[in-house]
Amino acid sequence: MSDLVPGEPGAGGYRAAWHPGSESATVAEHVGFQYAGIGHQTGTAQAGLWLFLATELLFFGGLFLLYTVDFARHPGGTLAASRETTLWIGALNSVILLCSSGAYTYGLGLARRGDNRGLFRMVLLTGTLGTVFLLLKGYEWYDDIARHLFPGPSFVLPAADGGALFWCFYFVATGLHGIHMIVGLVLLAWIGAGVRKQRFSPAYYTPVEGVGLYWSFVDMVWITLFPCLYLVGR
Amino acid sequence: MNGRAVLVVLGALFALLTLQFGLAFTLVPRLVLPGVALVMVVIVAMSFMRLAATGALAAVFATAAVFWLCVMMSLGSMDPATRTDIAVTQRDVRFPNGGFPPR
Repeated sequence: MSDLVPGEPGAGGYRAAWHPGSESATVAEHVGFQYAGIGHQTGTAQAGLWLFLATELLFFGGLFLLYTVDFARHPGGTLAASRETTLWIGALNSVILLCSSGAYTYGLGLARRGDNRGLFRMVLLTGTLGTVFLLLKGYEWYDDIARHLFPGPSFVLPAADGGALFWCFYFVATGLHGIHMIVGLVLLAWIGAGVRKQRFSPAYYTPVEGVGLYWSFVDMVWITLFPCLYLVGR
Repeated sequence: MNGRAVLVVLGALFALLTLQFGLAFTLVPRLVLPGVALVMVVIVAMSFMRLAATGALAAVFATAAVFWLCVMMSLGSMDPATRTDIAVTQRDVRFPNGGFPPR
């Protein structure tokens, strides 16, 4: 980076020092003025995303604390309520989400090697699996509501036994997770569009990596939700 | 990660998911089930999210998040987990000596 000239006009304040048309010049287009180089920017982006994920972890952590206290207060009612969840959909969705994370991680490896076509396919596969997850979840919600499991006047389980609390947690937790999935799908579409426009190269794929971190985090939340919602009462 | 490494990690995750599924139908304590999930979460963080290979600042943020999560979970669940004299569900019990349980 010794050939860089800080303060020159252009992206990153360094672009003028790179030869036009070279890979370094292409990378420089993505470097913000406040960074010393692409490495500095990538490291900052990663740290920022991990900080965001830290807030997300504490956000969902509060929800799991609520579940823990509810379970301690009404163990019998929670276990009975858990038995009413649709196990096959929960299990299938777990497999789907794990596969989607694996597909995206494989795509990230392809991005590092400059295989944009392969990356696009993996982004498409990840998005398709995410959409199937949401469709199954939507059907499950429809079925749950049809079976009067939504807490309210027509709630079918004994509400005082903790059943209503469990199903409140179920709808809030899966709803919040679903919102995160929708955000993830929008981000995947953004990455897909970026790949089509040849925005990424082996030298610059920071957004691809960032979206991968977010998608894997959403996967982690589901991994934790699955036993708490579907398995504890079996 | 290359395709082979992704498949190995996915295989481990599916094995743990199957184990968790099987354990759910046995008489093991229910706490084991989220315990298996925790192992899966660590695997995802270390492999798919490459936590071990990330920068020092990101590692500090991740460690701090887990630390504060542990603080929140332990302090928040301390009362229902350690209460032995009065069940949490009997919160409407009243004692004659000003609201304190008898010694």
